[in-house]
Amino acid sequence: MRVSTNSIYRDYSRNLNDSQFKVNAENLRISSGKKNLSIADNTSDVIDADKFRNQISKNESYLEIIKSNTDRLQQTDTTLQSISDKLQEVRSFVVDVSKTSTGYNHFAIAQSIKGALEDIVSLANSDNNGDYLFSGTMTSPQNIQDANPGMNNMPFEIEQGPATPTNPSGLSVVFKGNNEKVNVNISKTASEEVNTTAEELFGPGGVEVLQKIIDVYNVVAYDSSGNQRPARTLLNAQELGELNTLQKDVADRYDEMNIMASVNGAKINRLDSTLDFLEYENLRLDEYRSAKEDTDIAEAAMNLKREENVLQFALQVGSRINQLNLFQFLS
Amino acid sequence: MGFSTLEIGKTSLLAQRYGLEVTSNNISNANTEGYSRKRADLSTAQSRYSAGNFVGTGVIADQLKSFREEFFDKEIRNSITRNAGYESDQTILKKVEGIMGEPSENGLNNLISDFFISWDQLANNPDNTGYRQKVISDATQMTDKFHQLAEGFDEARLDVLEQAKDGVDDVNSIAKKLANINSRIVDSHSSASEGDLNMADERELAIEDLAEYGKVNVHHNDDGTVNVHLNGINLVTGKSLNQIKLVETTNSTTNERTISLYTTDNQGNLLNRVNPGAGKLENQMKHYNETLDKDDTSGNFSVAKSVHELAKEIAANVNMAAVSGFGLNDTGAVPPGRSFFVPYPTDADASTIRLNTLITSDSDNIPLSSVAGESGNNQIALQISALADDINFINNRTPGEFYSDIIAKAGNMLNDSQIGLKNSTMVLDQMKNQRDTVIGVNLDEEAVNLIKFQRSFEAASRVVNLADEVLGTIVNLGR
Repeated sequence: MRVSTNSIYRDYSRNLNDSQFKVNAENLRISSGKKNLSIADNTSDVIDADKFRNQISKNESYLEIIKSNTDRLQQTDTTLQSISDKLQEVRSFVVDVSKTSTGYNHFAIAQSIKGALEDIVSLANSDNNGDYLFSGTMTSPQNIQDANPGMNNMPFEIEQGPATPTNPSGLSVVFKGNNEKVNVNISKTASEEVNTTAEELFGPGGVEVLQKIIDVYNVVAYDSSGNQRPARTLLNAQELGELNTLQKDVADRYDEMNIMASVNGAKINRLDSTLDFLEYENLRLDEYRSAKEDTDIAEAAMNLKREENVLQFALQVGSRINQLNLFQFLS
Repeated sequence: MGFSTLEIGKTSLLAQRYGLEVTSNNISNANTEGYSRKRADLSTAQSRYSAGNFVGTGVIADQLKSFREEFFDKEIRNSITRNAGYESDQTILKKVEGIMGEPSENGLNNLISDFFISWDQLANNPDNTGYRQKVISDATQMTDKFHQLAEGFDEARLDVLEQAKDGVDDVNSIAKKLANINSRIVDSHSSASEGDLNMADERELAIEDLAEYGKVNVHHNDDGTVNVHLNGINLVTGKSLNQIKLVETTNSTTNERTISLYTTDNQGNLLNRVNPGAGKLENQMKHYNETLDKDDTSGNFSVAKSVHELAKEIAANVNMAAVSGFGLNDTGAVPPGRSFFVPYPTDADASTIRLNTLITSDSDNIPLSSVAGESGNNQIALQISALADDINFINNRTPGEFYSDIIAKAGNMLNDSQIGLKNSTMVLDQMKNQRDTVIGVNLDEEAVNLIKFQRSFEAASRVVNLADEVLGTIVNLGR
């Protein structure tokens, strides 16, 4: 078969070009660290890598959300514990009042009860990173202020009103937030309620147990005619009965609060386990992503060497093609 | 011996010189594209009867033989058409890949994902200015990318249009050249296959150039001319030709601009619609009318349309949630109806999608609460972040899956064109090599021929010298 000079050079040129293209591709794979230099190289791998990368980003975002909410729930837990302690303190005061035979220190106990109430209200006004913990979705001072002009900008406030026969101290607690739940996404498929509402905390209206404490205060600090209880005056049977009922209500709320603290603790555990899962999943996804898009350096280096050899031989063949012709022999 | 020897020497000198000329011409055209080697066919001159014997009268160089074969030419034309089509595909799709910036860690998919993630983060910190700004920043990056893609696709489309126009000019110029060659062949009253063989080479080269633009059929006429058809439509008939024209039309209902090809008469009136069938023009028209056409109605894959649809759906879905939400400082029971993206309620697309200036000027205006005055209310933000995983977001896919589909389709198209080009280049090279085994010049072979004719020429010169000496001897007899 005849071989034309043109076809020799055409084949040589094509082989040289192919070889240089392959060397360049391997070079790029090593220098960029990416296996696929084009979406056409391995389309499904390119798409998978993209998908894994996005999922990793999402998980990282969820991890951030989980960490910040774990902090919030932990603060809620601490606050619940403190409120719970205060309720227990109120119960102790009631027991003290019931047991005393002289009534000598009723006034002091009444002041302690009022102090405990103020402490509880103060604890209920706690915030996490500027957001109130127990005011539903009205988390900012501005929300509270806008909805309740003329009052302070906290969700719970002790208000001093006029004395009435049923409330001789005239005290009341106002709740200015709402009882909406705050949900956040903690993974692609799960969300978590991360707040405790005022109603969950203090009963209906968000203030029931606080009102009970005021009632306790009224019974201890005031006599049945609504006057301040004179020193060394014992509580009568009816008052003791009322006090007992109130103490029971406070105790019920105390129990509720302990249950709530357990629920809160369970949420923290859930967030912790989700965090562990997401961190593990990210490691796994990163491995998959890497397998899909990162260069296997050892393989690429071997390929590069192989292609360089091919190119070198191609160049040598080219130089021989140039030497071998009859004109050279004749000249 | 005497004058007849001189005559024989002369014919030999002429024949060997002719052989040398043909060989030299072959050598000089060894690298000329489309050239087919020629061979001087020498034959014995008619014998003369003399003194009871037939005596030879020398040599005649009466025929120049070309080795061109229609079978190879036809196959090569088909390969060229396929090859040029794939090459054109690859060029355009490589541009698309470049515009999309994929594969990358900062492609549109990642930006869309980041945008929805930022809503999730904002839902966790609804009144945090930093996270509000992040939503704005991520949304801006996403819309910027949409603009970049839309602009890139528009520019690529215009580029394709220019290439198609240049291609049409080339086709017309080649058709003119072919008609001109036909005309020269007819006017010189010789057939290209028997007369000026170089004209046949030139014509075949032109036809191969034409084959890059579409399917070419060639019919050889008895007078040596050829008729050339572009996928069945007459382009060149003997000396006459039809020009083709690229016509751009706008659909009055859909506003879709498409291009098509027509043959025209001498006055420029449109005659027949031309479908090139394959090759550069076919693929350029396909990419202009479909792949890069944002208003495409063909039902085939259009990367531009898909990206515009994605932008439109993102704007529409985010806005649908946003208009029912309240910003940080909004009051009252009725939402302010503030969209996140504009234009609204008009549909946005990849080139028009922008953030509402009410939001960019004050991040407090991002409507993410379902009730006014509740800064911890993240209902709208959660609705928007949930869009990222909504499997019915667009075409029964999430936004990320839909964009992955676009990448997959564009990637597979590019891959097809690359594999197609590789294969067709191999086939074309093989066909050319096979054709070259017949028509190609081999320099070694020509060197041998050169020596052969040179030596023969020298020998013929000696014959003439000898005849001269013999004649001299005769003329000087008796002096």
